Amino acid sequence: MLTRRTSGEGPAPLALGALGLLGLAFFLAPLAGLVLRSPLGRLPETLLQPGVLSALRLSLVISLGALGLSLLLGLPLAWMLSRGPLEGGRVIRSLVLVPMVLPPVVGGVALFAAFGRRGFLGSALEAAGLSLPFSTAGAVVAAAFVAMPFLVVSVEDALNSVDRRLEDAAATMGASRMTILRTITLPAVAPALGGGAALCWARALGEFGATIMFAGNLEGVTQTIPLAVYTKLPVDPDGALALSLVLLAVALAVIVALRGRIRGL
Amino acid sequence: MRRGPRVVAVVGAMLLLTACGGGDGEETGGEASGDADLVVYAASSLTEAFGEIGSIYEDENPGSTVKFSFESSSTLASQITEGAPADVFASADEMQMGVVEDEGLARDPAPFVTNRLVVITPEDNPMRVENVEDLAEDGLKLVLGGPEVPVGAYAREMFGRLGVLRSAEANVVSNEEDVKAVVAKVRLGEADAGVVYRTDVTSEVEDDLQVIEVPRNASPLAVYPIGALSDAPNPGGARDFVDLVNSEPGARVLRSFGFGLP
Repeated sequence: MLTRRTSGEGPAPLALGALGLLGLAFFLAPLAGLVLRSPLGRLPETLLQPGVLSALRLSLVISLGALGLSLLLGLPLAWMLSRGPLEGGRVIRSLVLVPMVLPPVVGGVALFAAFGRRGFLGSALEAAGLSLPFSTAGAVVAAAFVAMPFLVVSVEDALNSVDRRLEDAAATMGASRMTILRTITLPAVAPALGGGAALCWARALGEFGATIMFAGNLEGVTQTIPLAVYTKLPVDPDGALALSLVLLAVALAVIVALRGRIRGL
Repeated sequence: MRRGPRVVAVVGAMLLLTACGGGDGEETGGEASGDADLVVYAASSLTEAFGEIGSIYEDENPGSTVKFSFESSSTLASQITEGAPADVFASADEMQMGVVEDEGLARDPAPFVTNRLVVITPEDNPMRVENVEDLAEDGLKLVLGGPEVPVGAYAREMFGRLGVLRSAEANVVSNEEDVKAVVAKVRLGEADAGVVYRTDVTSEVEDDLQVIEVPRNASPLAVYPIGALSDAPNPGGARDFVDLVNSEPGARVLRSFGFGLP
């Protein structure tokens, strides 16, 4: 190509537009199919069946538990990576990201290796009377393992872009580190914290692989919505589809709520 | 300003992970890479035996490849009724074959093997299980197949015959998606006991397990039907495979893995 084409000529934009529309249809068709096939007219009574209702309740408890655990441990971790002793620790930062990329079912095997009753930490927990595998607490651990990185990454990212001069100025005026954290740093990262928490919660809500491996699949104890969808599809397609619809609605709600909060959404 | 791309990557990774969440067993998509390909959907308890029969089939039909999808029969049955391009279905119980038959999708399925239940524990048998009734003892961690999975349905039938269904059910810590998952969790030592088929105690796993026999009168006889599927993309191959399974060489392989013949 010796001469450069001016923009607006030729068939490229048309082809791009067609492919773009195809791309849109590719995403929307399965979602539309899910809605079309689901028992919309009987949604309330389908969702009120005992097995379905317990999955809804459990999913709420487990995903919120995972979010709580992520906030409790993930926020300090993000702070340490950005400000504390691990500042700039690239290797550790990369390790924190691993669960985001690791297939969740491998995460489940890894959780057994650590917290299972033959795991190197789990045997001690077991001796202390705390058994995580096949328990609701275990499902919280599995979900948090997979979901916490989403929170850590967005908060750490926001911490890194806080204007350090403000913190330094406050420090020279005699503010304690805790006061600086409370009055300057936390308000500055609040939007990212909200967004990260929402992503973390949504990921925990959708957790499947690590949960079914490490926490097992038992109605009322560890059978969350995704596990119930998988288990019920052969025997109770209506229940499975109704639950799928709930997750779809939550996904849409999260995306809408995050618009403008996180760049790229 | 390095925040944008990273957040996009985060969201991308999330979508990717959510996408891979569910399916760990659907690798045999049945994409036609030649007429000679044969897709067999079989109960996961048939994994080892059918692997060997598949090799015989490939030897007898040079140039053809057998692809297997081993999962719980209930999962396979629902995939077939969803239009999965399978040629043959071998189910671990007549009920799941019935699901496929009711849709008019199976051609004359017939029983080809039988199987029996056994109890397995980790090698060190932490709860000192000595017989089936011990599985109803308080505080034992029991894993079974789900009630919709054939091995789970048979296990519950067994507990019912022994009159301990309720207390055994109370010990269940997980309803696994197929029989191999039950073996895996007991073998890892995370559960105290599980109920599986005799044929699942293969040479690869037997060193890590203790096997407790179930009395004949308590164990339901698992009857496995096999049938070519009506919408088989490769009907000739489907017929040949079913014939091979029912032939003397096929039966020899199945017997060698501990299956009974009906």
